[in-house]
Amino acid sequence: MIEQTEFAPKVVLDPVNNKFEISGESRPENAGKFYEPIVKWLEQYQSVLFYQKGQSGKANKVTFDFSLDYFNSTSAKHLLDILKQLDNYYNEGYDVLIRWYYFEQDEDMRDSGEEFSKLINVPIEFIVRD
Amino acid sequence: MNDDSEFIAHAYSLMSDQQILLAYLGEVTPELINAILKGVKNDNIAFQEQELLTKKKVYNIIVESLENITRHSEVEEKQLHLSLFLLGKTDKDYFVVSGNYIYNNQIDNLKKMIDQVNDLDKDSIKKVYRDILAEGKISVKGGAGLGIIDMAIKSGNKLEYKFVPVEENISFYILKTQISSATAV
Repeated sequence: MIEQTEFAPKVVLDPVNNKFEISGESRPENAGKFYEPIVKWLEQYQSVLFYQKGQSGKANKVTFDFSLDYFNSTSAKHLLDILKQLDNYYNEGYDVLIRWYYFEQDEDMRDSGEEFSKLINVPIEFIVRD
Repeated sequence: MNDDSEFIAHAYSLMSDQQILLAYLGEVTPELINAILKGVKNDNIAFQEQELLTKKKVYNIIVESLENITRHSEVEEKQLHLSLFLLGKTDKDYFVVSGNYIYNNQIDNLKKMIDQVNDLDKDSIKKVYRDILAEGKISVKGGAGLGIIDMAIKSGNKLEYKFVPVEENISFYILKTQISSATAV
């Protein structure tokens, strides 16, 4: 888990509780350095899912929440990397749910989610934040 | 102390005539960017509470403008490290201006990129944005023109630019983005 700072998002990768989340503002000074370990982790987690499926016939569900207030254009590429990784899970037949949270007024944030969703197969559920 | 009152009065009238909320001339550092953004976030006078979307758009464009400056500040001459940043508000619009020195050999690429973006309608720009994202073509500077494209999408307006010749091989690159206020529409 990575704690939120003013300009870098909070990241939760908690498979035990099926809680995966990225929230807050994403404008880290070095976006590559910030996101690389997260994408790596998700890459490796796919082998855990594979193992679970082999053992019990069913892998754990992955529910990933994107609840961002703001992200810059440099972060966009890395967010897509995360989504593509989740897309891999989905394409392999694992149970994946992606939720994209946005404030009702913030149509730009909703648009961004829709743009991302055009680049992947796994459907994105859009949810208005309180 | 010298009598600066004339200069101050001049600066005051210049800034109020041009409706400048914030003006900065100096080196653009990560710390400066953070400070400016904190200020904008907490500013509930220039940005009314009901204008969340507009405020977010302005915020977005400030980030891309400032990051654009740091990305393109390659001119090595020390005295040419000074960059200009302006944030202003007219009755209907906010505007963000960045100005920085660049080598002339960058001009053609920048012109081409901005002209291209300005010629496209909103859906086509989004398509270009997706293509660049999907191809993952990121330049060494981390830009890939995505910042400029994002500014065009979020502002919904044409980007205005100017290259002012300074020295034989150096120009001052000015980029202005206007954001229409949601409540004024």
